[in-house]
Amino acid sequence: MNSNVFHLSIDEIKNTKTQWQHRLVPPNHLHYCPASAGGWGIIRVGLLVPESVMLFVSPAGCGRHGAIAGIQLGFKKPLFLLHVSEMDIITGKHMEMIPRAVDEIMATVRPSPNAMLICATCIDDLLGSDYDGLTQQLESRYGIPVRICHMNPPVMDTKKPPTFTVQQTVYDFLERSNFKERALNIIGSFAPIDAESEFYKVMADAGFTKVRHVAACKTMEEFRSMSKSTHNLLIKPGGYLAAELMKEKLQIPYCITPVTYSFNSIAQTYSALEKFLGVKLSTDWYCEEAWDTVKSYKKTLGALTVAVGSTANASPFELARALTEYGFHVPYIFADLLLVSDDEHIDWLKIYNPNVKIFTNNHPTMANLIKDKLTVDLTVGFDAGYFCSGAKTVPLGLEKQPYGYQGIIYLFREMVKALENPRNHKEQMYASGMVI
Amino acid sequence: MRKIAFYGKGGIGKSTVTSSLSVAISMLGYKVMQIGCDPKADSTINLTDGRTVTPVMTYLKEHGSCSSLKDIVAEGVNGILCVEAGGPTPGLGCAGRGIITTFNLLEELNAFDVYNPDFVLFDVLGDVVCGGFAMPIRNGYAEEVIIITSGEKMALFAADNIKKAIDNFADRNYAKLRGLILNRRNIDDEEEIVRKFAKEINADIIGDIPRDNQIPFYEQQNKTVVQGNPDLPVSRIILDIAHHIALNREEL
Repeated sequence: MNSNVFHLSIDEIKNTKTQWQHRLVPPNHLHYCPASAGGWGIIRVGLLVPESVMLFVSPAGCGRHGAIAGIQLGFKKPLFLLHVSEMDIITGKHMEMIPRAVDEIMATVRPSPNAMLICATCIDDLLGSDYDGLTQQLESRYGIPVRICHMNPPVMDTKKPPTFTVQQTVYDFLERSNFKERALNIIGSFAPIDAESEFYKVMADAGFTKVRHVAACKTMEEFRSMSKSTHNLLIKPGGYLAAELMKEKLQIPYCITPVTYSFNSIAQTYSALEKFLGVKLSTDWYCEEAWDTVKSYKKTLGALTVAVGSTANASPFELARALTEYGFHVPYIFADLLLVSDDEHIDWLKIYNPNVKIFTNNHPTMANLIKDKLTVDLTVGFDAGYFCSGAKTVPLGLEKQPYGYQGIIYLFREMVKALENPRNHKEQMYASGMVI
Repeated sequence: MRKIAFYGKGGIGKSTVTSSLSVAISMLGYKVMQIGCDPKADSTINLTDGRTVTPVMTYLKEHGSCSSLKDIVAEGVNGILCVEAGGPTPGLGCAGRGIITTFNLLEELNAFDVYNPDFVLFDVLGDVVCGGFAMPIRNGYAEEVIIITSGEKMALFAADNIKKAIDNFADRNYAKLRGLILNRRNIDDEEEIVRKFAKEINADIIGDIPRDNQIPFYEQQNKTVVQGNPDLPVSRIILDIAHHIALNREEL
């Protein structure tokens, strides 16, 4: 392998201990940020709010990217762009242009929006533009809730990265409800838990027949009913700040019940859920069903070498652990973030897969890795597929949210599908909307 | 908790007056926090007996982040809590942004809940030149603004600009103008000039501090005049203003 490529051994990864989020890239180093990245950006996440429109206040380049992403990924209709020039910014004129743009949106969009997001860029964050005051004015003028989200990459490495704060903005539309009903909110993911998952049946048997997710809400009214729920389940780390906000503002407690792919982790999650909800959950049958299915799929798959990427709908460390437990050889992990919840999986890998190498997409030397052609049979996640170019790729993207024991079955089914019907990686990436 | 921002032309004596009022209000039995919003980081210099308060921006520049209020809040005379925003390397960076960063950090560390002061006094550099320097009068920070001015033309011009900035935010429920403090430079007809200006902008003059050599005399000893000798006539005047501010909270 090219020695110029930055990578770490699993032993070199320190436990996070005190901080909840670490970047794997060394400090004082340039970060590589892929240009024109698609997927779930700030605008797309913000527009999860039903019946909302967004005004993106930005220079031409950012606006163009947002617009093209909107066209390709299907969220252009509720997205409006306000182009601001250098002179607008330095004179503060752009803050006067916003109400006029909102006037135009409210006069022309039909049916009339029930919520509005204004997305500011890092320029306004550096300037300290007063968007809070502006929202007060707009709310009183139009009688709809207005919230601000920030596309602010300079704070990516802080405790409040924009990918987290935008979820906070989404749930900030909810107001505290005095009426509570036995219901669960799923927080952190961009899609509701997949209908295939046993989760719904398990919860219904325990008396939780209502499970809510923002992407499943068609109207603002339906979305607002999330504030009536008694419990929040945080299934993806990106919803952490949102869950904290809802705990404080809406008095809804939350439990971290992550998306995982190993039997032990899923059992632990259900056990944590029992404690949090104060109920007994019957999951044995689903666990056995998954075991039987996995055994059969494993025969089909045989002994495989698998690389795990960061774009997969998983913690790369947990997924690498799960795949190792299932008997696959996992030589490479591609990971950009290190979360507290990863610690136990990293410790496990140190013992049971000590030779695994960890790469991070943020490091500029990754460009050298393309020449190296890492060899594996299968990759999970597009970044792993990109760097292990001969392998077949399981996207395991964020558009569908596998969960629980059915999530394991889904993973294996997708692995078999990728092996039996391999697709061109580039086509796969473009089709998924990862590249704009 | 009452939060008051002091604005005025550069060199008009904002830090001197604000620090003296901090001491005077603390002598009335209140817990006071003073936040210097000036890149020079010299607002609280006469409250700490010569000890240096590490400016927030200096701390962040050296450490990258800050997780404890103890690193950026120093206790001065009469238990006054002293914070200095500080600023970037002179000639570089953005001073206004430094103030925003300081305020964000104080909020993140729950400074007002942790210390629970009765009064927070913001001593803000010069004019409301940009978003950063307007931060103290935004929602959640100061509810009242006091402009310090002399009768000099340029001081009144700056005071007028500050009033315009406050008026700009009038429909946003932000800080309201509490009044003017005349910090005399002993120009001709000074009182009359300032009274006329106050009438024009519809503001009260809530204090009139004479020019007095005792003020720089005690500043040379790293003290405010109120701390140095509270029985001096100028100290009594400042104590009277503090009393007026503390006990006469008017509906603004």
